[in-house]
Order: sequence, then C-alpha cells, then structure tokens
Amino acid sequence: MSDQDQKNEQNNGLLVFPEWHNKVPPLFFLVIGPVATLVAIGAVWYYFSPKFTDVGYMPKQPVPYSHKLHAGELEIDCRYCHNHVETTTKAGVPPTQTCMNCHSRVHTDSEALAPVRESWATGKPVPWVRVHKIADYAYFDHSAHIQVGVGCESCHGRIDQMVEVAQAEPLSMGWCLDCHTNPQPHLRPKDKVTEMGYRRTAEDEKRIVGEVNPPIHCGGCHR
Amino acid sequence: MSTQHNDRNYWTSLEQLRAAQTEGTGNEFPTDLLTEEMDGPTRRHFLGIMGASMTMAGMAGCIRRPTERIMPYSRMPEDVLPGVPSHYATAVNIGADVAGLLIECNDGRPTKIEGNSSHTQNIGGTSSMHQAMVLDLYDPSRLRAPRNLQAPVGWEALEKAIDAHFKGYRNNPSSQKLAFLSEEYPSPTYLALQKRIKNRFPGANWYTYEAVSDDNETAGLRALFGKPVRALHKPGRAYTVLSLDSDFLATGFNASGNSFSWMSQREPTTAGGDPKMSRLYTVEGVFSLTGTCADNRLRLPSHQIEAFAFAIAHEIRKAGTVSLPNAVTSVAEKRMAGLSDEAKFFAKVVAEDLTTTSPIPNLASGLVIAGRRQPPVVHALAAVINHALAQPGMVTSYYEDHSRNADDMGDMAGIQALTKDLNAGKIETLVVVGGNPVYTVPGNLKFAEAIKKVKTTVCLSDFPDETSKAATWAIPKTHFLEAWGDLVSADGTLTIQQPVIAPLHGAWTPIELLAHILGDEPKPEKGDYTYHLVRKYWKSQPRGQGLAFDRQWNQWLHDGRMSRSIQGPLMSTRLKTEGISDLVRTQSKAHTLSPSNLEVVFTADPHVYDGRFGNNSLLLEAPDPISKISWDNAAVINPATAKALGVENEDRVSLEVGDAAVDIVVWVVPGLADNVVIVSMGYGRNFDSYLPYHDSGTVGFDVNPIRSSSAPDFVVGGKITKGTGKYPIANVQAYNRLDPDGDGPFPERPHVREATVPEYKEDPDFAAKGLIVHGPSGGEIPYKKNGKPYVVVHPPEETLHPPPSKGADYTKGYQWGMVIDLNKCTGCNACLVACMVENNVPTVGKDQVRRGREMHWLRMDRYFRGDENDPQIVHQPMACSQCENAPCENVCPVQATAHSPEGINDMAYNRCIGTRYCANNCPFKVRRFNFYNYTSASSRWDGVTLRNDELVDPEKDDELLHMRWNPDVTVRFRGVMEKCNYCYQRINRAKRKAKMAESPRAAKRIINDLNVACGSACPTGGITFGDLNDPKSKVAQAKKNNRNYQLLTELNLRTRTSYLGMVRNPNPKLAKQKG
Repeated sequence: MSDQDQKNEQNNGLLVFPEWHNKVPPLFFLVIGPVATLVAIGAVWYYFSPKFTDVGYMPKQPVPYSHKLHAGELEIDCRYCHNHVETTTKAGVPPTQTCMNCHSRVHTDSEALAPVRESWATGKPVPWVRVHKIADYAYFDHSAHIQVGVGCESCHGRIDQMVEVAQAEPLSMGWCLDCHTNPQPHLRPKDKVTEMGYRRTAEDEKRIVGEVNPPIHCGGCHR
Repeated sequence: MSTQHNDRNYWTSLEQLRAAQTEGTGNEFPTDLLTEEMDGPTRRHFLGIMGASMTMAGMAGCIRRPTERIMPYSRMPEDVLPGVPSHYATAVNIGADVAGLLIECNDGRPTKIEGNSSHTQNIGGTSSMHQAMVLDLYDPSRLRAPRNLQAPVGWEALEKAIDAHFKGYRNNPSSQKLAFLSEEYPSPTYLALQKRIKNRFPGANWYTYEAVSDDNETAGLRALFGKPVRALHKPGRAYTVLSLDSDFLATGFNASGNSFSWMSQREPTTAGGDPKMSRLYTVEGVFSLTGTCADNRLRLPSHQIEAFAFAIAHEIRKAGTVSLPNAVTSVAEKRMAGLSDEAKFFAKVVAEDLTTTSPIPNLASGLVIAGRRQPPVVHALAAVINHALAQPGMVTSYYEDHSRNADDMGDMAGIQALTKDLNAGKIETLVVVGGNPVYTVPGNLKFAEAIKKVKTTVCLSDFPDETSKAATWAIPKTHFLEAWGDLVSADGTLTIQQPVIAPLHGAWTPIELLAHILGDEPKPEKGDYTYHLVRKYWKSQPRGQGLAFDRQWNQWLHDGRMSRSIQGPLMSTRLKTEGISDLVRTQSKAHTLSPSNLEVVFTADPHVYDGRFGNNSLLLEAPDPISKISWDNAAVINPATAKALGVENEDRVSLEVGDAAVDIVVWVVPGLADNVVIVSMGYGRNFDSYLPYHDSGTVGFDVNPIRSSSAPDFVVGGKITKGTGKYPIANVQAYNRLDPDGDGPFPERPHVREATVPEYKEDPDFAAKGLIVHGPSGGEIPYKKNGKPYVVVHPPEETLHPPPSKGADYTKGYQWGMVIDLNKCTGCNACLVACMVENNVPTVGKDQVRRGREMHWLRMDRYFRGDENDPQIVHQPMACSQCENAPCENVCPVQATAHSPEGINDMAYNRCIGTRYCANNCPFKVRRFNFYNYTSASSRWDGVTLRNDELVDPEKDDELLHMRWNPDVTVRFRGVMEKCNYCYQRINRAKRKAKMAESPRAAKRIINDLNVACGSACPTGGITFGDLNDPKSKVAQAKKNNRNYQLLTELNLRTRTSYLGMVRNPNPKLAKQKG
C-alpha cells in the first residue's frame, strides 16, 4: 500500500480535490486577486479616461480643410477665421463667407470645395463636425484665456501640423486644473498667443501677465 | 439692552398662531405636507428599474460619444457674436399700462426681459407678469396656424378669404352688420387705422373692452375735465398718501412707476434732527399689497369707501386750511353718516395729516389715490382733494388719454351695447381684435351665447382659447416679442415696438389685420407688412418729417422711446365743479353686511391678470403674495367670516350672487374686512391648455359667471353655501417657515425686524439688537426675554473650518454681498419670477407643490403680525444667504457645494449625487431638489396627460420650451440639488468684461453696473448687490445703514445677504395695542 493509498484510506476515500488545491485560496487572495484588482483599476484609470477615449479623436469633416496648409504653410493667423476668439467665449467656426473671401478667386472649381460653394449659394451652413467638446455643464471662455496669454497651442496642440484636426489634449477637469493651479509655465506675451511651436525667451519672461489668478472654485467654470 | 422692538410676535398662518397660543410650535420641518406615496412605481419596482438602468448606463459608457455638428452662418450678420447676448429696447402694454423693456437675446432667442430705465413710465421696473412673458412666446399651445371652423388652413387661403369677405362691406360701407371688438392697444398706428376703418365703414361700430376696467376713473375725471383724462401720481412727492381701495403699488395702473416714486421717501432720513419718513394710509376691504405696506390701515368694505371719501372731504372742510368745492362739502356730512365711529375717527386723523404741512421739506402735504374698483365719484373726490392739497404741484399730473380714440364709450357700456346688438341679430360679421371676451365678459351678458348668433366671427388670438374656438376664422396673433408696433404710454411717451425674433409659427399683428380688412394698403414686395405700416405712419407725422428719417427711426429703436413725448401734462388748473355736482347727486345705496349678505369683490389677479396669462406656468406657480396659494384662486374670507359661515380652508362652497352661482373653494386670510369675499379673476380657463405637470387642464375657478356688467368690481348680496367635500389647495404659507417664534432652539428674535419711526429714533440700531454681541472668548451673554434673563450659549465666533481653497482672503478681490431692504419690499413677486427665468428654474405643477417640491430659488416669505383680525404683513424675499460658515458645505459627502474665494457658496450640479443632506442642514431651507426631471415637459409620470390636440408632439414641444432656457446656466436634471448662487453667470461675465476693460475706471464701472436678476427686476430698487470690498459700492454703503442685520447670527453663519429692518411710520393717534 503506497503512502497515497494510505492517506486515502485514512480519509475514507472522501478526498475529492488534490491537496495542492489548498494553496488556491491564499494564492487567490494574496497574489492573483490584488494583481487583477490593480490591473482593473489601472485599466479603468487609463482606458476610461479622456486621455485614451478623447485624445486623438479625428472625425472626418465635410470639407477636407487642411490646417497644415492654411495655418502652417500659408501662415494665415488663427484669428483671420476664428475672429471673435479675443472678445467672446467662443472662438467661432468661421462663416462660409470667410472661406469665400479667398475661394471665390482661388481654386474656384475644386471638387473638395463643392460643399462650401453650395453653402454659399444656398445659405445653408457647412455641417462641420465638432472636435473639441467639453461637458455642457462646464463653461469655457476663450477670450479670458487669450487675454492673459494662454496660447492656442496649449489646448489645441500643433494645429499647424494637422492635415485634419484631431484632439490633442484630454480636455478633462483634471487637465484644466493642472494649469489653473500653476498657470505660469503656460503663459506667453499676448502678441504671441497664436504662435505655434513657441519657446519662451528671457525677454518674454518680463512681458507675460504677472498675476492671472485663474479660478479653482466650482463656480468659476460650472454654473 | 432694550428688546422692545424685537419682541413682536410674527406668525405665518392661523394654524400656527392658534397652536402657539395653546401649546407652542417649533417643528423645524412642517408636518402638514402631503407625504403619501406618489402613484407610480413601488420601492421594489424602483430598485429593479434602477438596477437595470445602472447596468445599461455602464454599457452606454463604452460607446463612443455621438458626433456633434457645428453650424456656422453662411453669411454672418453684422454685430452678431455667438455666445454674447444682445439687448433690444421695446415696450409692452397690459391694458393701457405701458412699460418700456429691454430684451436679452441669446443667439437670436429672447430669453430674459428687463425694464428699460430710460422709459419714463416704469423707470426700469417690471412686474412678475413682464418677467414671465417670455414663456408665453414659446408656449406650445399657442395658435400655430389660422383656423377656419377649427380646421387649420393656410395663410394664403386666409388672406383670400378675408379679402373676399370684406369686399362685400367695402362695396356697401354703410352696412350696419359689421362690428369690431378690440382689446386695449394704445398704439398710434393702430388707432389711426381704427379711425380709417370707421371712415371707410361708417355703419360699423367699434367697441373696446378690457375686463380689468378703468371705466370708473375715466368717468370720474371726465366729469371734471370734460374729456378723457388719466391721472398719474408721484406718491414720493407727498408726505401723507391715502389709498382709497387702490393697489397703486402692485396691481393698479402704473404700479412700477408708483412704487419707484413712493419708495424714494421710505428711507427714514435723519437729516436735520429726528428721523422722518412719508406715511401711507390704506382704506380697503380686501388685503392688497399696498395694504401690506401701509403705516395705518383701515378695514372697510369696498362699498363704504365712497362714504369714507366724503368723510375725508368733510374733515378737510372742518379743518378749514384748504377749500373744497361747495358741491362736495354741502353733502359730505350726510353721505358719511353710515360709517362706524372707528372709520370716522380714522378719517379725522387722516384728514388732519393730509392738510398739515409736510415735515420733510419740498414735499406736498398730501395725496389721495382712488382705486379702480371705486365708483366715479370717489375718483372725482380724490382729484378735487388733490387739487386743493397739492398746490406745489407735481404730485398728480393729468394727461389726455391717448390709449383709445375719443369716441370710445368705455368697457362695460361698450360690451353691453355690443351684446344687445348681437342678440338682436343685427350683426353679421364680428371682428375680435385680440382679447378673449367669451371668457372675460361678465356672466350676466351671456356673451358666449350672443356670439353664436353672428354669421362670421374673425378673431385674432394668441391661443386656441374660448373666443377663437367660437370663431369662424381664428387668426394667430403675434407675441409682442415677434411683432412691429408702437405704443404710447399714459404720460405720452412713445415707443416703437421692435421684434427680436421672427414669428415662430407665423402670425398677424392687430395692425396687419386692420390693414387686410381695409384692403387699400398695398402689401410690400419684401419685408414685414406691419413694419411698413408703422414706418409709413411715423413718416407722415410731423416728427418724422425731417430729412434723416432713417437715422431718427434707428435712434427711436435704440433708445426704446422717442425723445419728445406726444404731450405734456394738462396745464389747465380749473376743474369743472358742475361736473362733480352731477356725480354727487346720485347717492349709492347703503348696505348692511352680514354672513348671509356678503360683499363680493372681484380683483385683478396679481399674476394672471384677467386670465391672459392663464397658461403661464411661471405665474401660476408663483404663490399669491397674500394668500400664498399656488396654482389656484379661491374665495378668500377672513377668520371671523369663516367662523360665522362655518367653513374652513379647502372647503368646497357655492358662491351665489343673485341668480348666478359658482362652485369655488374657501381660503381664510386674516386682515380682510368682515363679511367680504375676494375672488380674483383670470382662473378657470377652459381651453386646450398645455401646462407642464398640470393634469386637470383647468386651473382654479372661473368667477366671471357671477360678475355683472352693471357692477363689475364689487357687489353686495353674495351668499356662501357650504358644499360637500374638500378641494385640495397647494399653499406654501406653512412650510419653509423659519420658525419665526423660535420656540425651538433659537432665541426669540424674529427674522423680520420692525420698528416705528419713534422707536427708530430712540434706538437706531434696533435691527442689529437682534444680534448677540460676543465676548472676547464667545460664550455666554445674558439676553433678556420678556424681562427675564435669557442665556444664549454660543461657540466662539470663529470659522469652524479654514477658509476655502488655499488661503482665500475675504479682504481681497471681489467679495459679493447683497442687502435687501424690507422697507422697500412690496411683495410683488417680480424678483421671484425674474430669478426663475434667469436661472432656468423649472415649474413643477400643483401636485408637486403640495408636496413641498416647488423649485423657487428665491421665495417670498410673508409674516403676519398682531391680532388675527387686523394683522400687519411683512414680506421677506428669502434666497440662499451665502453663509461664510455654511452648514450645508460641511455635510456634503462629495463636495458638490463648496465655498468660492469670493464668498459665494458654489453649487456644482454635475458633482451632486442627491443625498439632500445639505438641504436638511440649511437653516434657511432655501435649497431645492429636483425630484423629477422637471425641465423636460415630455418626461412625465402617470396621471399627467397631454392635451387633446393633434398638433402636440411632445418631442417638438419640448424643443420649443427649451428655447427659453438661458444658455449660460446649466439645465439641471433630476436628482440634483440647486439653489441661488447670486447669478454667477452674470458675475463671471462682468468679471471677464472688467478684466478686458481699457482702464481700471472702466472696469470699476462694469462691476458697479453688475446686478443680479432679482435686483434688476425689483421696481423699487429694494435689492442691492455688489462688491463688498469696494467701499463706494452701493452694497457696501447699504451695509453701513444702521438698519442692517443678518439672520440667525447665533449660528455664526456670517451670511452675505443681510436685510435692512423695517420702519413704519404709523400715526400715534391711531395707535393700537401692539401685537
């Protein structure tokens, strides 16, 4: 009679699970459980966050408008089209009229521009797809940010290098607060807000707005 | 320390008063609320649904966000900045009462109405009705298409039909089969067209009818002036003001202007010695808001006020300082004979005061204002007395009445004549230009039956209402926000009405309808017909003759008024005394009132007026300022009458007058005259209503059936018979109470603090005396209560938690604060409605109000004081006081409510999980919870039905209603707590503007101009708001007033909203036992 058989004998043949199973509960509670929990937390932390879900969102637009061409190569200032960014809460997507200022003369028969010409003829808007979207209960104000010298680039990324616009930053509340609690590194002189790839110089250091006091209380943005 | 001024007893309802007399109250949470389970899911069912929803919501989170489109303009209009509201000046009339307004438009949608402070009539003031009008524009139950015999037809078909129909009359102009019935529209263009119609159709008759009629005043003054004249008062220019049944501060004519003027003398001025203030006497049978502001008030049934007016004349004659026409004085003593000794004594004291030179320099000694319900002779008497008293002039001015054409016969006479013609079958075509006569005409005329005898009725109407349903052709009428027009106010100020939005469903203006009927006014190829007509009219006027008409026109539109008014006040100072002797000759019948012979008084409702706002849920939900009834009207009687009749609150009764009777419900309000029943008009409308969260379709009780055209204002001979059962009333008087007697844990210091002028002189800091003065270490300070020592144990006055958010310092930056002056509050509810419109506050419906779930961020607390038969009332607007040590903040488990460095108790809706701990811990009970998704009219629960109309589409209707939301404020979903936050959308906007201002001075001006919605709506300027850190700001100045006090200081709340204690100026000769 082997040892094993003896053991079986002792247990009256009732041993259903092999002995190593005894190690499963501690293994589960001490190793696998915590690891799985941590992985789950980590996964939710990353994959459910706007950093993963929203950054890089690049919807197809009705007109293949290239910021790389217009803002990058042609060096048209952002404010030529987004003209009330300095005065109102909204930067404003330009009316068809702004496109036609040039395109009534340039590329007048381009196929890609057909929706623009149609909008001009019918008076109906071009249905652009929104890229940058913050929640309805958060009230963002472009003019206040431009006024103190937050560059376009800080939130929108290198627009001048984007053929199609994609979301560059998560636009989450935590991301907003990162800057609101420590705004100084993101500021520049007011005349350089639209500059892309900006590097602050020692001379600029003196020209940035000193005290900006961005709100960090709820009512600053939520109302 | 003297406590004499603050030991008055205040109470909010009779039940509370009586309970306090027996065992004392002190329940922080009211027990009389409707608390039984709602119909609908049970708890188990609810949990099941929630479980499933949570799972599904989790799954929905995995789905990519929906694609959202941005729709820019194709061609951008000039001066349009997306997200920046634009303001346009216009004006509106309610009857002949014109108010200049500024309309705020967000992205082309009008969302908020403010007063135009450069308009001379309302001087920037608004009423609750003006504030709520924006909702009527988006009302889904508006008439959306013309209807022929109730079936919708196209506009072209309508135009053709109207043209064809009136062609017959144009060919036969002397036909007497045509009649016009119009509501009041004091528009010069309209009145000119009306004259042209009369010339074109000489056989036709034109009647103007308003249910809330000024016939009495017109008749009384016509006797004295020989032509239609209106009296405009400046109550702030007289020391003693006597109101004879006049609600000149609230529902009377020109209430905003009157309030503005009167309040200028309600600050006890101490310049030159003793504090002085003007004095208001009110004599009335009802309890009006003016009565609540009175320094001395006499309860006298409406029919005896004529005798009282004679008593005043008699006493003035006896005093001999001023002279009155012989025609009056010779009969005065005989006419006043029926008065009680109390009333006679009151008259003697008032007359003495009226004729005594004002102790305040540059004020006239006295002013008498007669109410619109009083017969012509009272108006004439008031004018004669004013004429004798107001010799410095300027107190009362008389203006020729331009609101109607001169040959108008008056409201009641006109409608009587028309009904007679209708019944005689003389009229084949009736044109109803606005108004809702089928509902509003007094029941004795049986107008609804008379109108059926007409072959063709053409009716211009806002709603598919009682009249347009009876009409052959019902034509949608424009809302004033979508129409061109012009208005002349009583003082002759002219305003061009400009539209701020194109007609939502297509509609005609009254001017357009008249032009179509005339048929000789060519319709312009392009542009608006009414625009063309109004411009044409003004071009033909002398003031439009200049070369640069367009420039002038634009200036008129920009200013909201023309620089030159149509007329000045009448300069002639001679009254026709023979006119008054005619009026005096007829003596009114004397009556003896008893519980079986009641006086029934018909009042214009402070919210729905004559019923024209009967579909406006903002107004219907706003509680009546006195009775605090929401969503209903009632037969209001005083406690003694109720006892004699054996009825109590919510009893169904039958109210009979002569042969007619209506079923109505009883509500008991202290302070009315004995044996007087007040019923307000405008309720019980029967039409395809669309009221979110109101299921029954009709709201309240129609009292027009017992009204008669011969006595439309009050009638003696009413009987109340108790019916069976109860009718539930949503009344907000008892809950939300702040435990005014403080039998609970609070010491006895009422939330409203009040003194008389002598008391104020003796103790100018009476209001602050309610404060506990803390020792250096806090602790126990003896406080006297009724002569006995009373000890308040109190923690040291330190904040319990450190200042919010990283070293915020309340001495730096902007610090917002508010001061509400109780002396200037008339309780008119304009602030309450303005707050709802500005902050997207939803209405919840009667059933929810009964459960205490109304959402008013700002509520109007009303406290009675004194004897239950003759109490005084104090109003106290109550919103979040923005405590620096806010009890609500400590208990929030998710920090959804936290303090801003500027002293505002921020509420972050998206963070709130709805535990409602904060509301339970709020000492002011000003936090409101969204028990349902009130902002969406289509998400409704069992028991609420849509109106029966094929045009209703819940989704689309919702969209229409959503157009009224202010885009700067989050629309809250169910399960979220909300409350006043000092309009921080306005603060943020002003701060941004100030930041971008070109100079610090300009920035300061922007901050000084910043006002919250309630403050800018207040017609008396009783609410001051601003930056406390600027010592020159209005609010910092107001806080220095010695009447300033905070509420519940023993809780160490450090509220940012404080109140100015009330000071009344009663005549010591009429002193009664203090309550």
